[in-house]
Amino acid sequence: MRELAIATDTLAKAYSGREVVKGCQLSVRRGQVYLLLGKNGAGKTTLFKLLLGLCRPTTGTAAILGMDSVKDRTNILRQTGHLLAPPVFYEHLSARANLMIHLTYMDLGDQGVEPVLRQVGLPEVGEQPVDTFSLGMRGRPALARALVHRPQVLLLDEPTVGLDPVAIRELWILLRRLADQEGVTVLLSSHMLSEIRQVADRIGVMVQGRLLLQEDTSTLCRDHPQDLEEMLLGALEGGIPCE
Amino acid sequence: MNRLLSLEIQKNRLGPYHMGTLVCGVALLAFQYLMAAIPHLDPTETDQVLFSSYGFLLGLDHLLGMAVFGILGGVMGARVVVQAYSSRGRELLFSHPVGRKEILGAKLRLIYGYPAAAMLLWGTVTGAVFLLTEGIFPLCAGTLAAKTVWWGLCSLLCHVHMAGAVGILAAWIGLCKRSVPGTIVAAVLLAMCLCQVLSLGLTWPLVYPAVLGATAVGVALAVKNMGNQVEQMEV
Repeated sequence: MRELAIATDTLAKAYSGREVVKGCQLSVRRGQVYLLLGKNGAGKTTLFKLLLGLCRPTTGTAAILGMDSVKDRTNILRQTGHLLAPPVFYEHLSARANLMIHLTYMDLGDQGVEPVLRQVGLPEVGEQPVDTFSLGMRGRPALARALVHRPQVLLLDEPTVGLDPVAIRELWILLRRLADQEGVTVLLSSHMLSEIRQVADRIGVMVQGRLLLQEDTSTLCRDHPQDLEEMLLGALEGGIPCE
Repeated sequence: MNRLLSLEIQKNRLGPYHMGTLVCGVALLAFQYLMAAIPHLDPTETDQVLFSSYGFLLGLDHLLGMAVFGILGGVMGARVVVQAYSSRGRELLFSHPVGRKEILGAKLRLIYGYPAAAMLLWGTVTGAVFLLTEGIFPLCAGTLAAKTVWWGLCSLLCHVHMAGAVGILAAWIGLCKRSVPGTIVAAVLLAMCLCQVLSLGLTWPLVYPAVLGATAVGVALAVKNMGNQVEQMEV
């Protein structure tokens, strides 16, 4: 079995007594594209924050590339690229300047900035302040920031928000290429049920903080060749038992 | 650490602070001459002896400079620390692969160093220009001794530290209260209190080392507490 890039063990997070993530047993293999589905408020973003060490788990553990999310959060942030929705920037600075700051914090040179700006479709507007960008455009520098340092693991929380269909398709192609050719592990959350077959190697369904379903896409497609989307919609409503 | 400090300077627009420093510095210079001219403007002034003394005039100017640049430091702290660690801002800060305390340390160096440097610059410029013009066209009846110049330098260094300390302490209060306006109010109140206490130093110099020591301890405790707060913060 391929080594796990992302793993959680009974991971839980509660705010003021309210459990937002409950007993999560997530496992993502290296080089895999894992799509996490869930309704708004299901706990997906909190799970991402727990993995990145941005908040502490109430119970359980989370690890990326074998590094604990609490003890090794600095190293995790160095090895991963992430995009949390909605993205946050130094608003008065340009997309290029935001990327350069990000690279400087990592103690890296700025050679990768131009290629990644082209990759996400921002070469012309890279000099404009981010606060002039529309909602759809803001996703692009956020994605660029996740990619610019060539991380081994990508955590993308709803990366398609605000993107047009062409940009979404380009994103899926990029993520597949990163996974297939460069062995990058991708954990992303999305509402785009229609694109599952093209993008994801494995699918998880999160309902009210609990990971109710984790299965390889090939298995799900074999078991539900005609009604995969309907089955997943039903799972999102909480109709599927645990793995 | 210099890399982090230069990043803080890059991220935070310092242009308005440069302009504020320039305006305050010019106002301090004008204030210096105004105070020196009081015996001429109001011959009935009962404290004419004080306003004719170079030591008193320099100390008074340092006091006002400390208050002004300390409040500037508080405004800077409100933006660079309190606003930066707001709920949205901290997500961005914590996403960098650098220790949280290291980033905070760079911010605190900025909000201590900037007002302190401004105070040092304008305290020196104001004092030098005033004493130079006094040599040509004296306003003060007092005499300028080497001891007075030495005392003026010591007073300046003390007020330089105080100007920086006000910013740090105001940022700490603002961070505890999670309030940007609270930071600025705290800076104003701290500057006022320090002015009251340090004004005693104009006649009783031992006040300066006592207040220096107390604020140094206060700043150290505030920095430690802010570091602990930042480590415990969640996004």
